[in-house]
Amino acid sequence: MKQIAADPYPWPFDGAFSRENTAFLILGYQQRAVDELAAHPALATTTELLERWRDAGGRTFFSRRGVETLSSARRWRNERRQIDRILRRGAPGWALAVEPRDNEPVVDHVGDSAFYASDLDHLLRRANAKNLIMAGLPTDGIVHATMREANDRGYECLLVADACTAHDQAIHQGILKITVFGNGLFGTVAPASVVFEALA
Amino acid sequence: MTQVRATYPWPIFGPLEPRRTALIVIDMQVDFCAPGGWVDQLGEPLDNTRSVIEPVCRLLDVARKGGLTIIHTRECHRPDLSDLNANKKWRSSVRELGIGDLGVCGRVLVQGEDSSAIVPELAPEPGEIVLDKPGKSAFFATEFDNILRARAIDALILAGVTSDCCVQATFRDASDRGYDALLVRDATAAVDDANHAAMLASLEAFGGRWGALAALVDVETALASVSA
Repeated sequence: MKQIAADPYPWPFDGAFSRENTAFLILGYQQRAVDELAAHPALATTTELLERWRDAGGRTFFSRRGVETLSSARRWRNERRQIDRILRRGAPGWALAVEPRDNEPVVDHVGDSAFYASDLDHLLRRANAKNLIMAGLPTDGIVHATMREANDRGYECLLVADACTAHDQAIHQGILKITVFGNGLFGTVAPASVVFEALA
Repeated sequence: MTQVRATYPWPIFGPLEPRRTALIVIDMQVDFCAPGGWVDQLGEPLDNTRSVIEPVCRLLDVARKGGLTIIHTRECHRPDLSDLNANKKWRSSVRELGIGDLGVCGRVLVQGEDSSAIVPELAPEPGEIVLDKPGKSAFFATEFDNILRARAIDALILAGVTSDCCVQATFRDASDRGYDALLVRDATAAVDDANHAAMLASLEAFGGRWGALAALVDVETALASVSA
């Protein structure tokens, strides 16, 4: 597949990508997050992207944040959160809002970064996925934390701008701008329409 | 009980105890903050990153008097660049001076070069820890977490540059790992003003989802009282 016309450079940096070296990550698309962020448009975009990616034979990984117990400082902070509260596994709103297929792994994670204390890195390396296309909720929470850590780990990342959102559009846009600062501080950004062109 | 006046009284489970608290000074190195460093040679203004030197100097002063553990981080790579990701190398190489290239103060973002040294105003003192890191987060591919846990430190005061990159990365990774972190709002900055403002807006929303934020003067007041 041809490079995607992303901001600030055609993605991936080293030329064409393929379904063999690329994975689609759907991060934190859980029912509570969709509701409290009114993320139904972003969910529709993500679902369409997922369908086209499946049609292209691409592999998809889902992340799902939740805990059994939180350490004390985290519990204290979490209880005073008005939104983006870390849910107990199985609690109302914890379930995914997009249905994975049997061959699409779901990675449970306890923090904002889906890499922390999870098998995500292991799964991606086993799958030889060095390029990551990302969708998720919220932009400034799970999405940015995971993209930031993916970048430190050497993955080449593309965030699909309209497949994620935040409680505040100025903050959503601010995170996208920080992401591409310089020549891609944390990676690249493109709208779904541009990704669709590359998959067509 | 001494706590810092912040977005919420900090530490969460006060009082402020020097033996379990560390001051983390992020990347106040020549490459980002001094003439002849990387940012300067790229032709970008140093005003913002240099504006943090004086506040961090004040923080170091009270932290030293208070007996806190002090850790200075530096973003830099092994001389053979074996720890430099291919895409990070490529992204910097399209600029006139890339990571590993020879600049005015030595090779850019390389360990042991003058360019990756902490600026002289904030030079580490004997007994302070200097941590080289290849990523944005101080937790990535370093001993940082082990250093903190071995010393039973669970409260972190963060300052340095840049707010939208390595500072927020370390602050938020500290949150995932269960630390009680405090960011000193006026002792951090970014190269780009709008990015700095956007980052602080995100970190401060809802009173701080990942940790507390405080003004330098309030951190100074609290630290002065524990060292008195």
